[in-house]
Amino acid sequence: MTDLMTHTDVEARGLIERYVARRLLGEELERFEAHLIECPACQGDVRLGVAVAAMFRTRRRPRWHLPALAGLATAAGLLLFLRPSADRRMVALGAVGDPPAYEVVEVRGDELQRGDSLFLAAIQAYRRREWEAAAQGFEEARTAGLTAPALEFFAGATALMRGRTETADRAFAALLATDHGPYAEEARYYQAKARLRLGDGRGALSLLRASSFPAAAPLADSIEALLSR
Amino acid sequence: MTSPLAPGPAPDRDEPLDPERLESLRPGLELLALRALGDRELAREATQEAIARAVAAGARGTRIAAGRLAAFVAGIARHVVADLRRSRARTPTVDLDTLPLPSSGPDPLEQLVDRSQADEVRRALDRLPSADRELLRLCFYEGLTPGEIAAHLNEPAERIRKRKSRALERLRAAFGDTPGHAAPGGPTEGAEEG
Repeated sequence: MTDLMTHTDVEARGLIERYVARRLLGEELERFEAHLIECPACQGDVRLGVAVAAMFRTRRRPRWHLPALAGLATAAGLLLFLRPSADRRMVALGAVGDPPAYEVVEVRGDELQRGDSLFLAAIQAYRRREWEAAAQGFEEARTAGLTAPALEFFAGATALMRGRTETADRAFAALLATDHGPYAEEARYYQAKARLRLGDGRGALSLLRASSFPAAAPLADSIEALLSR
Repeated sequence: MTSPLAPGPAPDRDEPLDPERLESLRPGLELLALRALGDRELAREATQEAIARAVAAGARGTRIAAGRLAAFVAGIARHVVADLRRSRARTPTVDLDTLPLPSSGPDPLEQLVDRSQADEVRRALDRLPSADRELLRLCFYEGLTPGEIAAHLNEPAERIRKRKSRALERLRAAFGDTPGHAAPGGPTEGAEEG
């Protein structure tokens, strides 16, 4: 059993990049970490990659010119005086304790397509709350040709649980744009959660008022209460 | 019944759990532990425990096949980290108002990058052509493989690899850290063997 990892493997498979972005999983992750702990060059590249990723994380926040910033700071101070921590509370409403449950659907026929098998494996990871494995599994199912509202919904839910809020927001929006089936009401609710995390209370409210998902109404009431303060 | 042609134990192909060799893995183990635990002090504790367990295994006569030592020690480290996480999880403190959202927190490994290195990287990034900046964003922020980026940008994978290599070289120079993989292609496990 020889599984020496070479620097060609590291380069060709983008292992450092995926490690930094936490997209390296399972056996591949274990093999890379075994290589990493005795490779100072890879350790240096991981630190460099982390520094690069941090720059892009920071740059997603908008930049302001100083005079505009001063004016905004005054206005924000006044608003905060009138509505202490309202934004923070709004964002906190976007927290998700338990992930949406997957109800078992009986599959007819003896043979599962490859995409179905990958989807079910990803769902197992999802149930174990192994979010990275689940995300990769859903992506593989999609690559294998599976198209199903359930796939898009649980890929969005997984992104939400991983803290990939913008990805989750896009996934639910895409699902709602094309599907009006059994996942639509729940997708509106969880997209609202994503909108809340992004600080968009009004967007969240609009989604929730259009959803018949049982938890939507009380959450909408909480948002309205915050908005009216 | 043993065939005389069957390979017997080959002690010369084993690698001893030598304390000095284990010590050389400490920086890498700390990186692994920090990534998993998010706390430098805890990461040091986990690393110390992992090395101690490996030394103890060596003292008991455990021998590891050549080239497998790092995997063995990394496996021990993963167990230690799992134990520490479990023990921490027994005292949860959940407060919705103070609960950090996963997307808002920095990567724990950012603790390994000091302020001046971060500033140098920022400046080096700003000097890159915007196409190369976007390439690095896709690599390290989105975590895409060169093949995925090639498909995304509709460019040959080889060209993507070269562009990435060139951009990284500039950043490495700014980062002032290790020189990267100067001679790609060689196996690295067991590379320190005589």
